[in-house]
Amino acid sequence: MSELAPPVAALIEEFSKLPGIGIKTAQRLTFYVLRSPADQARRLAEAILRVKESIIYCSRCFNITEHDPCSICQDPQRDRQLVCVVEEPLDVLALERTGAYKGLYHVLHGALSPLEGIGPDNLRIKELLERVRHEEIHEIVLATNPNFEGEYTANYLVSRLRELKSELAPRQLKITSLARGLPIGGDLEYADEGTLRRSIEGRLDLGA
Amino acid sequence: MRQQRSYSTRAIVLKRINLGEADRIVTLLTPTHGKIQVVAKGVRRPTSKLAGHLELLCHSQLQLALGRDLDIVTQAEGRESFLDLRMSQWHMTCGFYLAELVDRFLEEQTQHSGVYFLMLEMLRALDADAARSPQEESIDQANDPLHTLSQLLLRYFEIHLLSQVGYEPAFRACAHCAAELRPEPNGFSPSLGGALCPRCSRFWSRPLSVKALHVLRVLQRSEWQAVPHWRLSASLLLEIERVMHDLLRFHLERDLKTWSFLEMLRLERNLDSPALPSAQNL
Ligand SMILES: [Zn+2]
Ligand SMILES: [Zn+2]
Repeated sequence: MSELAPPVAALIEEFSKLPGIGIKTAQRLTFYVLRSPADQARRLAEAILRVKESIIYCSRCFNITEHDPCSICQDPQRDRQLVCVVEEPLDVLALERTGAYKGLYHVLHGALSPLEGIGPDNLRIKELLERVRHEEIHEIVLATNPNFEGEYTANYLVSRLRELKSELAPRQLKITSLARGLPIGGDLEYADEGTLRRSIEGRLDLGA
Repeated sequence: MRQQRSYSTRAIVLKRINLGEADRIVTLLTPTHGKIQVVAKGVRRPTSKLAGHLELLCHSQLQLALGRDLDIVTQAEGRESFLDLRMSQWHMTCGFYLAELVDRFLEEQTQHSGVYFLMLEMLRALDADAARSPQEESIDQANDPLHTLSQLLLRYFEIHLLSQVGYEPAFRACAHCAAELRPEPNGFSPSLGGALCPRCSRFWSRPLSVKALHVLRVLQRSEWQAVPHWRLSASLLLEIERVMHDLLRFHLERDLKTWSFLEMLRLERNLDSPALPSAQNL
């Protein structure tokens, strides 16, 4: 690395700090930028800056947005009684792509993880409980990741939301979660015990 | 040592760290290779055949290919997933705690088959305890709101893990003068590694009650299956926990991250549980 011009070394170093980018990929990206036209490089730099300068968190659902409240929270067509709780903004994007969900969201910005020391105060959990108190929410859909930390977070939220229920009366609060089941395109024989058990528990009535 | 390109091992998953787009670095506890780190490719995609078998605390049979830095998981077949444990916040937290303890105390690639079998036994017991426990919603009516058995299980694990890694706590003889300890108020010193007789306790340490010493000694000398299902008071459980946590803190020179989560759950529980009965059967 000692023979590289300092600006080149600096860019490699910055790229390699990005998640999922190793030193080899950082070098490839740097030399790609070096070879590309100047205005393309400028657009990349400006896009990065714009993200940092203009993107904020929605004060209601904590999704990333340019305007507060975000377009989903402002949309009058959305079902305001339904709130889906996800770990990351990317999860909102994934659910929106399905076009099947018409409610609002709440982004936690992570999952509880004792091993990494991520506790309830590090996530937007207090804010979720406040929303449940003050908004006319009738159903919370827990859509944390189907892994150990995601389930741990969901378990925690269920117990906190249950405590709230008496406070909310006479309003009813339903707590649901995304169904757990077999991935489309997968083979049954490779499914793990946890997926299979939940698939059987959540089996569908085909109405035949 | 290893000549072949790949090998097979059983393993318990202790930790997972995301790597790149969809991969993970997984820390495993194995019977013959001790604690190892391996790479699991593509396990964050929903269609991964490996993912479900490489969840935290899963006990799986793995096929690993030798890698340049870390070995790579090529096949995984679950043996035990401890699914009942995963239905309960408390038992999941206990599971996290066992994993954190093992991860902190074990050096990589040092064989510790004793720790592996201890961990497996404790996970099975935790899973069985979770299956017996009532669902969280009826916790107020539960006949064991303190989770006494699983708390004893954590203490049992701490004592035997310390012994396995060479820090056996002294609960039979005074840690300072080696006089045999008797059923009387004794003392305790983390830096001396255990309990102290009344004479030595004058200079160091904190008091250690007769009951607490008794429970610690039974946990130390018994097989887990033979540990009595006592009903202990909250204060006695807390005293025993403090003794063990002080010992662990002394050896690790820091707190464990999971402690604050166990504490959080206990506080939530104690808030709405009625006045606790005093110690019974002891
Ligand atoms: Zn919003
Ligand atoms: Zn002594």
